[in-house]
Amino acid sequence: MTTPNRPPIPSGDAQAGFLGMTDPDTGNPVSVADRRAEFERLSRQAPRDPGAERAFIESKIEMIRKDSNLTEAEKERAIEELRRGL
Amino acid sequence: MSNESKLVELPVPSPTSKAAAAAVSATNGADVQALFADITKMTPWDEEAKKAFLASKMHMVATHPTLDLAARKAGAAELASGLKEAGALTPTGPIPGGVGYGMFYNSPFKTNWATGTAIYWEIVCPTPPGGNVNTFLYLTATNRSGKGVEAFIAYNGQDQTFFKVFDWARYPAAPWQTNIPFANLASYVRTESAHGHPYQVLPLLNITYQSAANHWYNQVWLWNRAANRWDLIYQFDYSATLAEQQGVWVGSWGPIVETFQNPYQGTNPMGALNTQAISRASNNQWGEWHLLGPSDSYVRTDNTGFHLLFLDPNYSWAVNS
Repeated sequence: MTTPNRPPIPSGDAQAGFLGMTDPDTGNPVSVADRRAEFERLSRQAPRDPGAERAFIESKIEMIRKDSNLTEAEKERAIEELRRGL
Repeated sequence: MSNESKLVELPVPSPTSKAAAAAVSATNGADVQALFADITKMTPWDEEAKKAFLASKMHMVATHPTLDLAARKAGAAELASGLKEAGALTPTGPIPGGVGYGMFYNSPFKTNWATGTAIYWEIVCPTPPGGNVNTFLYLTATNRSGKGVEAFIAYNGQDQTFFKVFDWARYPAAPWQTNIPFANLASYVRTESAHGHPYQVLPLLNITYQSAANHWYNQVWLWNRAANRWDLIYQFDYSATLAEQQGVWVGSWGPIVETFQNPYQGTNPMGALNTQAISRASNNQWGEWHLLGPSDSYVRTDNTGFHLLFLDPNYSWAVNS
């Protein structure tokens, strides 16, 4: 059976939207559950923090600036993409 | 032609002023020490700049990536007495937003998939984070897709720990989706051993796949330890091209510690265990999971104080500070 260390292979009807999971050893479906409604409910209860949300994007911009593998042009383009949301 | 190199003779500073004067004289130079001393006296010192210079040295020794924690401590103690007098122990110029430690995908690997990509990893997520964490700190990863999600642990100081999903396919309109207090994840958190130590981990699957031409799904699954099954906790379907999925900077990082302070000190071990990736080919067939390796990714560290505890290249690692 699949375990956290032996993750399942995504499978099933992709067009149906709900992707199934298959045991990589046996090829059999693994046990799954759709818990989206509960997680949405819990998320609605947690207050949003606009400061934290802005910091998330600003942090990514800083990551780009410090990325030694990017050219200046690549950095500019990537930062511009992110700034759309600020 | 002779192989013997011809040495250029230069006036070498001498420990005695007499010899120095002789050397200057011998090279037809001028003694401008007095002039420089006068100029120095007339130039106002920037006290903040002086403190920053010394604080920077303290920061360098406290975050040096190749020094272990004991060596950092010893180096810092050496500097501390002088710095205390100068009032420079508080670092100036904090730099939020960096990579404490973690993996970035190599370019070929980042785009080595066609209709789907997924990452599995176990987030080593201590609660609390410990040490001097007093603002945000993220344990996050992408699955290589530019419109995929970050399903991650978000700390805010010691008392606020959340599991969040940020969906890049919904940026900038509504990217913030899942936001769950860590206390609600008891069924999903487990203990995993690595290198002889137990770590609290949150195993998760982060999947992006194409269901039809230019139509994609993002999904996040958590392993429900209590129910012995995989739980789908987030899904979003959207339109995008393959170029939008692969030709952008987003999607370039695997598991990382994303920082907002500098330096970190005294934090508990955090990181990633058993990171694996899987690709879906153009014929819509998923391949096999494989451990994230050095040919897939490289280590990035921005020297924010984290110290590597162990690295199984590059799928399992933990850092503390």
